[in-house]
Amino acid sequence: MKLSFLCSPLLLAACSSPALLDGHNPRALLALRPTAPRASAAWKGRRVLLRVTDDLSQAPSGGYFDEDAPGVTPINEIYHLNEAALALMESAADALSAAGAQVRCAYTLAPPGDAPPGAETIELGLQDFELHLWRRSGEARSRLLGRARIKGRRIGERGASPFDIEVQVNVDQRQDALRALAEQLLARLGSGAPASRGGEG
Amino acid sequence: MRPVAICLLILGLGGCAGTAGVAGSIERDAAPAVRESLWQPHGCQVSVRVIDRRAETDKGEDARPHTRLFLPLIFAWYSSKGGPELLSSEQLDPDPPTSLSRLVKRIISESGLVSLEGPAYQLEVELLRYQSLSYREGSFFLFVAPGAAIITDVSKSSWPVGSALLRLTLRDQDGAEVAQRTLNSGHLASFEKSDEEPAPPLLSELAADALRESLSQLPQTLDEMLTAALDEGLEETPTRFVVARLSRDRRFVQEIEAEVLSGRILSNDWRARRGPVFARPGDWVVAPYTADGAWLSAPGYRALLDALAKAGHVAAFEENLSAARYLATPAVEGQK
Repeated sequence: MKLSFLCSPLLLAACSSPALLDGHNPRALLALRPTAPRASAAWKGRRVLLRVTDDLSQAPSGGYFDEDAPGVTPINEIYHLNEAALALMESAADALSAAGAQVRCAYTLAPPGDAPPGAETIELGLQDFELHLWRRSGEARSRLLGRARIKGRRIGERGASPFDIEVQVNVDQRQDALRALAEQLLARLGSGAPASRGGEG
Repeated sequence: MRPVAICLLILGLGGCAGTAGVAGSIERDAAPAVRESLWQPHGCQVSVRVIDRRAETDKGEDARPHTRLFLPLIFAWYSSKGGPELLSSEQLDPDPPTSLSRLVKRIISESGLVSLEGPAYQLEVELLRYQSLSYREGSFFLFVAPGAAIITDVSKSSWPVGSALLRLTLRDQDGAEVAQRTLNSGHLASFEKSDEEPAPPLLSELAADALRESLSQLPQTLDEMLTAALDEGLEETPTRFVVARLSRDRRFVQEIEAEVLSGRILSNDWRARRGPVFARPGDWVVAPYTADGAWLSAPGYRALLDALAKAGHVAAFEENLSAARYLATPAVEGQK
């Protein structure tokens, strides 16, 4: 009884995930159900203008965790995705185009090109971002684990409505994790989800 | 010596390790090379105000390795720690806002971006992040027996990372926001460097590298902000233009400078990106700046596209509204 009492905090501590940044938790993302591709049918035929307003993501974006690697920690390499907010915007544009939407992207403050008439503007501000590769012991392929928190606004004919959404994905390494994150975000926006945070696996 | 005393001695020595180092300076370490007189000056004045907001956004502020394993037994203690460790901000710069303010003023002055006449704007520079982190892991073992003690305290740092984040807000005389941009950079040490214990100088270098990359984009980013604010058009049709594509990581850009009328190529170079991202990586577009690096206003860019169309070039807006995709060059004798 005494031994198990002493060991309980030990076991809890041992389960904490190694991470290079406070707030990163790759083990929690690994525990998510595998994320299935989501067709954003709600966006078919719509006109959308995408724009990035902020990028507060921090280096490193994530690490490669290999449970078979020697050492105290399974971190095997670290990565940084430069301009993560723009990469996410481009993935969202691809997902919208695939869904049948007419999509445009504004990279600069005053773009010279014309947006389609009646287009809804979606402003994206990346608040937090992590993207890891994790190989479980004995498995040949790794999992891509991603999380993004996006604060932004949808500006349409009925005015502007803010949103603050967190999306999480767990996909096979052959899949596109950014595209999966963008699809999750668009599914939340397309379903008219309230402006709130919350994980989505 | 009693075991407790040995333990305290070793812990004390361990605590002293790594605190030595030379204080860095943003003004000295993160100064980018500025190409003088690259820009035609905007007819306005710009004052600079730097605000230190690192405490609000720095996730690494309280970074320290967390205990991953703790085993307190009667005669032996074992603990294992791992997690991010932050280089103290004093080692990066004792007074970042003052140092950064001086450097930003110097960059704007050297770039020749603004005249000293016309409407007054204020450039608010929020320092949101300037830090170096590494991953520290270690273990501590203590075994005590009557008359004897064994202590091991081993720790190692790896994966050093430097990052810098600035938010630029251009305000008019009434304090109203005119334009806003974020400059965000992160630098990882090379694999060879990360094999070894990162010394404080290397760590501060990484933070300075990241900030230097952000500041190297400051003149053209401010140029874009002022152009959007003043909505200045081209006074005369340019005779040269740039077709550009970004590298996969968007850090570099391949620029082909050519004559508008003949399509003759004047130069073809890869260089570090010196301003805002304007297209997807790999897409050949008509750059939204002149061959001299000056940012084009929306009317100025459309005038350039008209001039290119008249000369036989083919460029069109597709998904990207900020830069037209370059599709075909006019046929020139002796050039493919």
